[in-house]
Amino acid sequence: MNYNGRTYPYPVLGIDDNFTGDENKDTFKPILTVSSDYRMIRLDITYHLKNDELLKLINSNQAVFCTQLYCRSTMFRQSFISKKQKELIEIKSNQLRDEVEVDFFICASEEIKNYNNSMFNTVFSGVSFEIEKGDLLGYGGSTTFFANKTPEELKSISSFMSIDTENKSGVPMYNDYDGDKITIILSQEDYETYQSIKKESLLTSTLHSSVVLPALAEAIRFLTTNEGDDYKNRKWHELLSSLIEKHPTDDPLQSAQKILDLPVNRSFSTLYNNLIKT
Amino acid sequence: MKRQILIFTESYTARLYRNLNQSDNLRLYLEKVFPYEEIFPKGDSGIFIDDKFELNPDKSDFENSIALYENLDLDETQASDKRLWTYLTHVRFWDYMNKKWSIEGLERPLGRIKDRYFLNTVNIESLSRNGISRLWWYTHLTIDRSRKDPYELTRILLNRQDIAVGIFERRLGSISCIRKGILDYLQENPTIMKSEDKTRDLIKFINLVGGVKNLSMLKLSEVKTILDKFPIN
Repeated sequence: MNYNGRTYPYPVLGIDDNFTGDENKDTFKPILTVSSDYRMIRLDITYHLKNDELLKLINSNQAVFCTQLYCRSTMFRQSFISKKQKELIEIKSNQLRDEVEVDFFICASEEIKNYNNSMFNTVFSGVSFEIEKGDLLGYGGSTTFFANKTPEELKSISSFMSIDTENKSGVPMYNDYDGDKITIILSQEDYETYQSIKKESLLTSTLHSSVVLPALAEAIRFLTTNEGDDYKNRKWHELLSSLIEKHPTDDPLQSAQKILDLPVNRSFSTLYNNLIKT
Repeated sequence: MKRQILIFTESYTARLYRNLNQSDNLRLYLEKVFPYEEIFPKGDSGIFIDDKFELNPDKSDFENSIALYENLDLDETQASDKRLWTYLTHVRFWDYMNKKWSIEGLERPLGRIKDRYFLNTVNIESLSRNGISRLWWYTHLTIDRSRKDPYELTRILLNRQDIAVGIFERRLGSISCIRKGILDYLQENPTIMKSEDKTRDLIKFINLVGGVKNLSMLKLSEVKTILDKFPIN
């Protein structure tokens, strides 16, 4: 959720320049670590807060640290509150699926009359506010994680691309972006050949170079131009965006090669070592 | 006898959806039995349903919703699996779908097929539109076993279609105390429940409150205190 773009009726730490000395948005900085097994998902959170008055409100039970989880696939949306700066949250694995959004707040846990803070932006100096339970006093930003997915699984191309056919002969391959995965559509005869050779490890890097590389480069071009905007809520969009961020270049073809770990090079090496050298 | 439900493979589910791009395939949704490729539903879903259980298109959504929920034991991750719901709409509950969400006579049937027979992206809106998943989720999100009638809130939700749409088309609807607070409030305030405009305004009102407040940390009683501030007239 976008909490930054909103106008609040009182200053909120972490929003725009509501507080002085918070230009880098590091006065309230939560750190999240996620781990999971087949039964439970665990979130270890450390709330770093460098504002004495807000800390005092938390220590006197007038405010709390709060982590809100939202999983749009399972409609799970829940807040976990804490007075401690270190918190462990455990959730059953079968309650979350795919992407989970996490937002961090400091919220009022009761009515606070005459709320003020010496770090309010000077335009608010001398002004105090009436705060109700649940009102946001601080925003520590947001992050996401993928439930029950290891980093290795998320990096794997099969997590966002698949290969299929529409049973047409003699047609060129193309990408279909409509599902949770990008589907590379092959002609009927190419698909049948692909099915019979895909298990040959010798040919994996060649398949990557000839089929997956151009399809991925085209998908990166599609995503990084306005054309991909209609697909922002697709799983492939989220996963591919995070991979592009980790392999930044201005050129889709180069990005694709970095994501696939230089498939042309691997393909040439494999073919040379097995066909020429032997 | 209970029998294990098969589910389509992910690639076959995507293929069925892609096939809608060819207008010839739309007429398949008028067939008595949907012509799916029988090699694609695989076993071992771990989900069982009684052989004799059927949904009845002549009964209300409320009755079908409870009947399905009581007969289909799922956890949340199973219930957000597009492969499962696509199989159920195309195979197991095809008769129900064909009557309840028939495309016969529609000038543009594509929208209805995509919305009601598929689940292209999984979120609160799409799950409450798919012809079968909506029934399961309606009860799942409103059942309250602490009440004498655990389905009391489900009945209010399905009293009018715009109530369910109003609650589930916003992210707000994913917060349990908000859903239940709104439905409870409507039950206690029949003047508002009877008016589509006032119901819509009530949902907008709580949505606005959520702009500055973290509603998901509140208790049901606290949500109801906020709703009590809604200007009835």
